[in-house]
Amino acid sequence: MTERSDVELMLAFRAGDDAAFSVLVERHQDSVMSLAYRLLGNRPDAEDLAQEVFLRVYRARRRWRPEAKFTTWLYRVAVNACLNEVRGRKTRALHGAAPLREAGWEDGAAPAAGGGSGDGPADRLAREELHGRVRAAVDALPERQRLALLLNKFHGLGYEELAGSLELSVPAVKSLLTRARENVRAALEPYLAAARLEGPARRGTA
Amino acid sequence: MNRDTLHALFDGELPPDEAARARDALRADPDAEAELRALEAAHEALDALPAAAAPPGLAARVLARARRRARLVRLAAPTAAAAAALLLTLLLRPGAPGGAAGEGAREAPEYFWEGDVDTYGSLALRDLAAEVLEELEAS
Repeated sequence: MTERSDVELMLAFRAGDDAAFSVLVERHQDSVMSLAYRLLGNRPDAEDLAQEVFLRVYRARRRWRPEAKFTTWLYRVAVNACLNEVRGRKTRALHGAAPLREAGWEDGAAPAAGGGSGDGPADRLAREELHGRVRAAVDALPERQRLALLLNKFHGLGYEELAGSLELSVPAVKSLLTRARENVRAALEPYLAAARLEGPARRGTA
Repeated sequence: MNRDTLHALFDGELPPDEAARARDALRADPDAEAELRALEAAHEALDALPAAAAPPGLAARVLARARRRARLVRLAAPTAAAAAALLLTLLLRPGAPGGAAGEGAREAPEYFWEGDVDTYGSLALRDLAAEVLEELEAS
């Protein structure tokens, strides 16, 4: 049995096949969930947001038209849901109804799988400190910069796809990503410089 | 080296010949080189943001919600159509409060559509209304 492509599944779903929708959701749910989690920083809110994204996909089935990459469209739906959520939070925070971010990141939790193991408590402490700074730096970005950066870094979207997902021109995306990177780099500069002086902990490929 | 070229090089979005030229230029430009290193370090540091797996049964939950919603929309569509027709009839009736071309005639529906969308409730209501319209269009 050959695996059906996203577009084939979406066509089947548009024609009324809900099972095709389930396959699509299962294929992309972790990616959407991770985007939401990195954006919002806590699991319950991220789960609600991921659910909202796929609900929007469901409702938009009649409006969907096949395009080069299904994920460009999926991320467009996700971006709109994310922007809506972040703006809703700001409004609610303004009215004192809810904090902008629920008590910061729920963690202490380990970073992405593969996070350093087998090093001492001092290293761990330094790493946790750096992780905190990274989260703060990313949280401080305007929402579109944050989304552009996350989609580029973790979902592999290049300029062209980012433009499709953020509904911006390629030059606009370039400048958005450039500003996002420079903001993060500026915020992290002191910590990264210190880390470099203390010697490379675990340098990847490039 | 200018900032655009540096970032495009970082992103791997330069055509091969331009990328080669940029790398040559970089060797002669320690500041730009250091800047590129800093960008790489910052990019790598983002690995601190953890991924998260979707909760089990997400697809089933979305489908259940979507079906409930679709039922509601199907139920609401004829009712909404009838209500709109009734409203129109009442408003167009000569001698109705506000009159046919009166202010009331224009304002009531506008308020419904453009009302305060700050609150969750009215936003959800607007979404639902849009879906009802879509359903009416499709049927």
